[in-house]
Amino acid sequence: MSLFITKSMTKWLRCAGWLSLSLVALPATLRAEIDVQHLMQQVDARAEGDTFSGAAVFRLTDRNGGERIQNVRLFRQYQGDDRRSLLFYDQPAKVRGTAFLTYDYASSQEDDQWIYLPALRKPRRISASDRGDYFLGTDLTYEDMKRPSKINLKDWQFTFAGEVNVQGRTLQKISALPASPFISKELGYGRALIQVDASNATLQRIDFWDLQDQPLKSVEMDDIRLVDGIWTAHHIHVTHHKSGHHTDIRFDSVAYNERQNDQMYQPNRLDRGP
Amino acid sequence: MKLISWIASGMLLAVHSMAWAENDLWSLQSRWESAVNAINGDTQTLAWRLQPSWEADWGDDIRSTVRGRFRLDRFDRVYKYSETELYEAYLDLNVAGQHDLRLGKQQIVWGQADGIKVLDVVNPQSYREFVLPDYADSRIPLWSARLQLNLEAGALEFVWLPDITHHRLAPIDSPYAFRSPLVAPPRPSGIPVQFEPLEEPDDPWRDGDAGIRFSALIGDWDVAFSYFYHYLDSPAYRRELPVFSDTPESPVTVRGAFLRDHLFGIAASRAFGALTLRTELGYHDTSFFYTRQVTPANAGVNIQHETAAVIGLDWDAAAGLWLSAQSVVSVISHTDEPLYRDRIERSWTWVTRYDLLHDSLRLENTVLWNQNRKDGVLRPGLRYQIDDVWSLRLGYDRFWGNAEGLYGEFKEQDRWLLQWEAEL
Repeated sequence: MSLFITKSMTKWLRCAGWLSLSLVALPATLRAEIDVQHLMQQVDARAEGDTFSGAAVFRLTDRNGGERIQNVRLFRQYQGDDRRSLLFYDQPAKVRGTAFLTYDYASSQEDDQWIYLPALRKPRRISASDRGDYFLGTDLTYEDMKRPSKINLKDWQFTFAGEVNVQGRTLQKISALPASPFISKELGYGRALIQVDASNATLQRIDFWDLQDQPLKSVEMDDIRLVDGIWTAHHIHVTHHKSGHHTDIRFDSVAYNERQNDQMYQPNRLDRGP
Repeated sequence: MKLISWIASGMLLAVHSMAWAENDLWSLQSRWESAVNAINGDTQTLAWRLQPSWEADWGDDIRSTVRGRFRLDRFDRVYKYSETELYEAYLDLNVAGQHDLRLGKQQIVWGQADGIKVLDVVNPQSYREFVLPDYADSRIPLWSARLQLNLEAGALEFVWLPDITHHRLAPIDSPYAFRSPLVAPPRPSGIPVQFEPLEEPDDPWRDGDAGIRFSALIGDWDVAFSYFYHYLDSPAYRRELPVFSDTPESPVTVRGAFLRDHLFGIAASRAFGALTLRTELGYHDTSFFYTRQVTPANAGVNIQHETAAVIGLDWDAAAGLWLSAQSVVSVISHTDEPLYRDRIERSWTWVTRYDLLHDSLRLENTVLWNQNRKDGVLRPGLRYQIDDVWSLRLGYDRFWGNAEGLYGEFKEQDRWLLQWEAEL
């Protein structure tokens, strides 16, 4: 018995030795790629809270310096794996009372969306927006808005692209290619370069290129703070390189896991506000 | 009703004047608009409108909204050039943590159709400028109560409207006065006419309107079932012939009276990819139509059941481009009476909208068309949001078709419209 054990152990140790040697000998890029997948999974798995509420100021600036400022209130709630999100406009007066409700299903079922326009005085069913459509005059797409400061893992293939030092912090640079030509067309992105802070699994910057590989836009996230134990970017700045348009979003009064009234997410209550 | 309005407004203002609102917000809309007849150059409208609004929260469960409206119009024939009104004033109350009650002067909008009045008949409409202004601007808010019970299965809504205000029509000498026999009884030629006082509902308790609606998300469909017991907002004018019609001095007596109607409705909508389907169906127990021949038996009015249906399809065709088409069919029961309308009436609406420059510029064209009389209105226009405060709207309204039609009757009233608006 002991002989058998000894022989088996010897065999195992030999295998382990070869395996260790193989790992050492693996190309650095492959090791990094394994780390990249892991890192992006960490970003994706970062806690979002069962509920979210907050206020935001959207500052939209065109290439001539013309500025529009919108104050909104945002709410989000998970019901199982399905996500419901709400946006109410407070300012400017022109759009005050406008509300936007989305049911985002974890299954392949299409999103349900409604808009309440004070001019209509009734909620209106609207088609699920294309993921690459720009969200209500901003430089963020509907897909960007679904999970700001996250990126959908199913849509991208990641490779390690080095490290960069930004204001004394070492960030991981990750090159991302759309998972298929269809997704690329759907999102309107040809490729992306992502900067991630591995210490808290937060996205810091994403540069997007269009389908013709021309620089499209850059999204920068900063003022990242812990709120109720969740890392939260309080400032997002988007520069659209083609149009010269900028979108600057500052979040305030962010709260997670607070009790919310489920009724708020009913389409026929949108006229009542939050 | 005016007394109720003033008392309620006074109470709301008094409440507002107390400084214990937790959050309150003032806003002010100022609009200058000018409309010029595109055919003869006559000015139709030269108006300035000021609309202050105040919204205030009174704790977690009460919110109040007050909107006033002051309008000056050099060419207004309805209000003798100026109009001041408490436009909307209501309290939103949260009941038992999950139900909603809105009390006060408000707009209640049912149905899924755009600009088509099948189920959207809870509030009357001002037709001072026909259907050219936005409906939210021309719909007449009424003193009413609206209770919405938010249940597990959906929302159950009860409405009660003791306010018996009806449609406000353009005066006979104004550009958009109805002359079509579809809605205005033709005056008998060569016979004197004697108008009797209009019989109007006057008891808020007895004559008020009431309705119930259940709406829910069933599968992927937004569905609503409704019932509305109401007075039709236009009076039926009976033309009673003189007993001895061979006496030339004997006048035709015109008596206007409002009719009660039971309206049953179903509305549904659903999105399919880039398309959104919107439908609604309404059954009127009582509708009335003017007859081509006036007899002692019919007095020029034929009362019918009417079923009306709308099917609308919206298409998000491309980034910023939105197309919408609606088909409207109205069917009445068979009658041997010769009516101005056909038994089956078909209308269409088409909207093309293109948003660009980050939604600050909107190009839009709307077409409303009646298939039976081949009349319609074409409404191209643009709206430019200059900044957060200022916006500009330029539009052109071109009517055409049979002069008996609702649109064709205004074919001499094509107009250019310019609107400047500031909202603070």
